[in-house]
Amino acid sequence: MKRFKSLWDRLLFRDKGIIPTKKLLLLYSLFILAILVLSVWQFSWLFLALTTILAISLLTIDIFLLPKKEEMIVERMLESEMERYQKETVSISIQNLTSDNYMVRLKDGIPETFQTIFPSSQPVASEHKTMITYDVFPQRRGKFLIDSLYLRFKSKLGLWERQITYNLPTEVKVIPNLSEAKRYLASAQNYLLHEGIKIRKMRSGGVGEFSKVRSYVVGDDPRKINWRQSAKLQEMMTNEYEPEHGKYVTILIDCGRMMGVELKEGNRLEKTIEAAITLATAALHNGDHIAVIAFSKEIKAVVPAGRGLEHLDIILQTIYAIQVDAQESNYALALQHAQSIQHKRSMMLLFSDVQTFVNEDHHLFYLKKLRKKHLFVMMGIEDQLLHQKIKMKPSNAILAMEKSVAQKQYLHQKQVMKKWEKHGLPMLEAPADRLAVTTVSHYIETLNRGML
Amino acid sequence: MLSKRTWIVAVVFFLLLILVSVFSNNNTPKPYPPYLVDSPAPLGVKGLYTYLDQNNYQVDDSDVLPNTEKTGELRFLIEPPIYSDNSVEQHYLEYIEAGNTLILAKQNPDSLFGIETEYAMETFLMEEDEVSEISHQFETFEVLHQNPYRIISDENDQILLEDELGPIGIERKIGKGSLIILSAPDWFTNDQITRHQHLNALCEVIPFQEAETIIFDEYSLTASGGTVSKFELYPDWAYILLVQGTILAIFILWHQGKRFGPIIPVREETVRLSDERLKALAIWQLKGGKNFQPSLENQLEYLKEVIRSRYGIPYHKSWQDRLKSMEGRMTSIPAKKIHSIAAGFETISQQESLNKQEYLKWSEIIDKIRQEVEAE
Repeated sequence: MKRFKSLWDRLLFRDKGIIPTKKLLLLYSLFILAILVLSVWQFSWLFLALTTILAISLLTIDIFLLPKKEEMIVERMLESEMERYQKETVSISIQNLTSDNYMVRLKDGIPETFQTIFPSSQPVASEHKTMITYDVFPQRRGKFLIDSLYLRFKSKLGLWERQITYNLPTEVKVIPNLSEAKRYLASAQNYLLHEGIKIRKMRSGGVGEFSKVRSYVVGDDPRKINWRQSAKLQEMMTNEYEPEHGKYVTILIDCGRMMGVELKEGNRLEKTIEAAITLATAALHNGDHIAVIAFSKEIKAVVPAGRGLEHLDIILQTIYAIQVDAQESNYALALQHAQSIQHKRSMMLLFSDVQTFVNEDHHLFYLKKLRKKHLFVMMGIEDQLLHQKIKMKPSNAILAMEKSVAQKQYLHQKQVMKKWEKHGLPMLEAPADRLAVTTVSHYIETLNRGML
Repeated sequence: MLSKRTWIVAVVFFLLLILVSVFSNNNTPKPYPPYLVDSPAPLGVKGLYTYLDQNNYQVDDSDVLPNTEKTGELRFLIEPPIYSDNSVEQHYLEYIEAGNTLILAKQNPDSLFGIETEYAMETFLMEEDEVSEISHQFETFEVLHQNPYRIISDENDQILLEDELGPIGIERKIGKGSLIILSAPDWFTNDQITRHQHLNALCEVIPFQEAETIIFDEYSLTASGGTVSKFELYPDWAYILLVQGTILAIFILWHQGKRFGPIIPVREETVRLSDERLKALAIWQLKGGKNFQPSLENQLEYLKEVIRSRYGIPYHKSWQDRLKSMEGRMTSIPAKKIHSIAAGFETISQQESLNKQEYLKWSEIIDKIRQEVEAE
């Protein structure tokens, strides 16, 4: 069967062959017009046959001017790691070994989630190396194999094109968009500015660890005056404290059915992964330990706790390709697993869908147990569609019914969230584009308050 | 194991054997096209020819067009093609006009010599080999006739043969001669001439005695007489368009059809919306038609919450008190109406069932208040 298939491919000249161009079609149409006019005076079948054969053979001379596959050396150069929603450039180098100039257009075998416009008609000069570039805009994370490169060469006459396919296998990883994490690293304070949170809030109490000695200003706690230093420097000095480092943070990423909900840009999981990476960056930058667990029905990926910004790369390499599963998530399993790899007290951040979480009561039971040792927070993405439904005009019965169902759902959600908060299990909801900021600021606030 | 080479040699040898046997064995039977006078085959007319010959008629066959002079001839045209060469038909017409008799026997003589036929559906109800009766003036003949075509005659025609469905044979005077049309060419054949009363009917209808010579016309039976070659039928430019159009079409298909780029698989259906659950619930609740009241209850509950978060009016207050304390703050709803709305809210939360109109009306009022509260 396989042999038959390859034979079939060969018969169809798949991926290679010659193709008449528009110019040829135009010329041939002109020829038809000419002999149509001529047929008013002169017509015979022999004449028709001879002129047709002559015309076709004249037009096919161009085929012999086209380059062969061996006469072109083609290479593709691209980054092996691309960020989602980040423009990347792919360059194709074509070395022309012949002494003729050609025009080339190309199509690359990139996955269809890479948005691009291929260059249409590019000159390939004789005995020269030509670089052709095009931009790609990856839309989906994951590991992709880019293989075939399809080229169509045209000679100066341009009546025929030769299609040649080169196999240039390259592996490309599309990792989550890191722009938020980069913005955080560039200036953490600016990133959180609109949240009004100070990155390192100085605590006057005994909380935190000693950070530095500075000169005393009016209003500082007199109990914190460093007398020894004041005596030494002949100036009033005071001690300063800041939150401790080396805390543990566990990030749980839900990849279940409800995380596949489409947002304006990508789906919930995309935004969640971006937020998780940003939080990991912030925490690692702060000197804390980060562990990551991705799960749906089963555990999909685990990164044990580690510190230092190098750990971010491990996290990225582990979770960059996770996708949404069409299954309900198993929260119990994920939390159990988190507890088994995280023995020290940690902050557990669960990224999930609030609605599914709210609609089941038994989560409360094991979360209450978890809370005794860990600090649990749940992060969700606000459902814009739900809010639209709540506010829409009830112009017919079905819309009114949808509205009332949405309102009921919203009230129920609010109630449950309040109940959970009473048990010390806060649930936070943020709009999709502010999820990362909200998560990071919640983390910093927790540290600042010394809750961890 | 036999080697590949042996196999190939064997196959080639076998094919050669087949080819040789096909070409050497050339004892195919002599072909007899139908209605030839020297054909003894069931579809030939040798029977009739010999019969007339032996009864001292002047009989002959001819494969050229007749002279257009009066010769007192009786000429048979059995199952001729529809002439695509107009001059042939014209020639026969002139031949008749000169004073000769032409007998046209054709299953469906429509559009030959200006004859028209109609279709008799009833013939389909006849069984195979069913004998039908046809009449000639006052005589009747038993014949086999299952041809569904009946000739349309005009008033100048003399009807020779007919059955209850219409005329089968007519005589038409053209110029000095006459044209006899018979829609039963089968009766002339060797196979059928002696069956039933075919011969009697033919002898009655066809004026054999009056003719000096009887000619069987084979002009269009053996060669392609009267029909124009398909390569000359249309004007020249049409052939050029046909041939060149075919070639151009091949070029266009080639140009358009060659795949350029990878095969893109159909995208899997992964898009999900977060309101699917909500929509399904709404449709389900609406199906019963009885859930209008609980739905309004939910809307009122939500309104309570909105008012509480905006003005801090607690849940346990009645609608009268709640709306009254908001009186000055609502612009779109007049103060007078507020009382009735509040009363309405209280009654609908008591009511067991509501109809759709009421439901929509109250939903709209609730939404209006909600907008009012949230707008400020």
